[in-house]
Amino acid sequence: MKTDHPQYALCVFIVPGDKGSRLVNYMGELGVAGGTIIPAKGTSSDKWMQRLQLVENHKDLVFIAAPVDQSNQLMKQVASHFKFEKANRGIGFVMPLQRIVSKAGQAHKKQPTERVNEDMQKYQAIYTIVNLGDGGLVVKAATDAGAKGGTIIHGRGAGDGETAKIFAIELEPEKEIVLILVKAEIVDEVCAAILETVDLEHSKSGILFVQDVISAYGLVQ
Amino acid sequence: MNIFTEKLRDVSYATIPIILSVIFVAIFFVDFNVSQLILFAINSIFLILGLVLFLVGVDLAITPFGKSIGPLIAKFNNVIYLIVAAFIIGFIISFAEPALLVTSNQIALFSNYTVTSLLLMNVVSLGMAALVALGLVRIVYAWSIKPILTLLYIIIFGLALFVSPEILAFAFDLSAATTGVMSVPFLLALSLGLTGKQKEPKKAHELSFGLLALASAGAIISMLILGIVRQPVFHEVVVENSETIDSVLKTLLFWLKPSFMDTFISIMPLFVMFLIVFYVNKKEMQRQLNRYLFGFGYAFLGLFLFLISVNSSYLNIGYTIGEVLILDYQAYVIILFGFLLGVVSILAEPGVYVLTHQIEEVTAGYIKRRLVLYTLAIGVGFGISFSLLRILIPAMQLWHLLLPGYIVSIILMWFIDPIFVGMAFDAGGTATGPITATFTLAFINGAAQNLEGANLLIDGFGMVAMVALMPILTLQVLGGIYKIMERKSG
Repeated sequence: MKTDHPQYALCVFIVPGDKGSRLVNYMGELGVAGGTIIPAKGTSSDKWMQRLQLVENHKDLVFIAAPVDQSNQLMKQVASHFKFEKANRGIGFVMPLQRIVSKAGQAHKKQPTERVNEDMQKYQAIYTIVNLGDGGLVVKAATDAGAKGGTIIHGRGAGDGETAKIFAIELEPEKEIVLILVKAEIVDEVCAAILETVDLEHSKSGILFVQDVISAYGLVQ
Repeated sequence: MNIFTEKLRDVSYATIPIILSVIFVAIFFVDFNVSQLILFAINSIFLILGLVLFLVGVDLAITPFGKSIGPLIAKFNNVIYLIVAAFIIGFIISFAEPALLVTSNQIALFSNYTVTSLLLMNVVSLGMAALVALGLVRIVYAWSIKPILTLLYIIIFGLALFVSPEILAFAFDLSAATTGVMSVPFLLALSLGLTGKQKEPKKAHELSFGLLALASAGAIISMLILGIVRQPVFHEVVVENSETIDSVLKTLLFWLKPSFMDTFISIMPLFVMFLIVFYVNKKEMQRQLNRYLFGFGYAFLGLFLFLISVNSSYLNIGYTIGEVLILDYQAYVIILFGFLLGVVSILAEPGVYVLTHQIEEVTAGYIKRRLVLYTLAIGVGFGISFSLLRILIPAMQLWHLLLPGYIVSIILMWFIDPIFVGMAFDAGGTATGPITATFTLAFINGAAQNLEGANLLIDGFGMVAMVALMPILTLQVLGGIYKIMERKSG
């Protein structure tokens, strides 16, 4: 299975609330430019803290797309740089991507892999990362093309050359991440519709990628 | 890491600068007596612990409660209900602010009780309540903040032509007092609760800020109107601020009761409001009840410790520093120190912490907390330096600074993103919290009282107005820089 483009995988990290920007910067130093950060909340499982209602904490959820053949090496470097081996420093994992569209027309589609269970794999998840305010357009385009709806998550992030600096502090523009679950057979049309509304192939402002969903529940036909 | 350790880390960063600055002054410039130093050590621990507990309480109870109110009122889908509810909430929140009581008492004393503190509190709270109502109506109808603020400040300066300089200073001071330690987190949460449902994210950003700015303007306007109607005359009264500290234990015990009462007055109205809302909305809030109760408990304990700390030590330390620096050193020393103390004291202000976090949350981290914090702190530093300059140069009047300052702010506003406008004017009210009202005010009073020809009445009060003005300017400049940067990066 040889293609002209490198295959991509999605690296996902969950780190303490102030580390997201640093992680994206570090990945940039390693040669992987661009990432999206979502502020999130986590909980600690300490019994006493639960009794005192002191369980909540802030986390950053970070999405970075990287070439598959480098992803393991990258994960190892990040893990050692941010000391993931210690408790509460963060976790990271890699997920395969079915297809990715990003800056400068780098479109790549993976050949359909052997499917373990046809029944359970009939859904795919489309993630579209766009500039703040464009999330609604993506959902509209997707629903027009047959999707049932979408969820918009608010985050921040930057592609290559998208950041500006004020003094020593880097600014990452605000982004919206649109998560859409659709049946595998209409993925092509939905992606095409989304790409038609938000031109990700020519601007550096966002990316789109598709993942297999192992199982999906709660989707009303 | 849990919320407690997270806050402990943040609060340590926020308070260590002020603690180190005092230690620095103690080593090189001012001889404090042993009791003062022991008290300072104990109270610095109280300050950190109190702030941590209070901010945990804000996160667990006060912010979620504030956020839950907006949607609850919105359910009625009737603007009259919204106005009535907002008016009542605004009035209670303003009236319950302990700083308002303290400031009103002082002003009543200066007026020889021709205006009573109860009258002042009512007038200011009415003004704030009316503008909180306007602020919420603005949010639901998505009106832009710029024309509203422009109009309000034109009204303010129009009215200011007819009042004495004392009234002008008092008006700004009272307004700063009402946007204090409880109303800042609560009003911010109230905005967020209503804007969270906005579909257009950019609009929601813009609408999330500005409510505090309007509330402050309301308090100023109503006080100016009172000044025109009643034309009170004020007299210089010597304030005994500098009670010498001889016994550590006695001082702590002395402040126990007033601090407890202030805490009680601040938290109770909100807690009662919470119980009412809980009763109405039992089904949805039942699951969270423990979290709310613990949160209110933490906030109470935290505010109590915090107030003991600022009252029993920081007030006295601030006064002594101001006194010694103006008597024993060249003028430029105190002006430089004023800048330093302004910067470090604002970092420890609880309202500022809450506001900067809210900004980061609303913009998902695009507008960085630290950047806003430093910009604000620099603004406050300039505010304190200008106030000291005014004490040293008697010919310089408050309006010589306020008028151009606000005119520039209002012009700048039309060139930057609306979110920065709301943020900047909100920060103005927020900057003047309990640390400014004790430590910094005492520092200025210490300087003014010991300088021949300085007018404690006007100089001390004018400081608060300056601290409220300068962050508006610096934050708007930051907004301008953001805009230029964005354009550059395309």
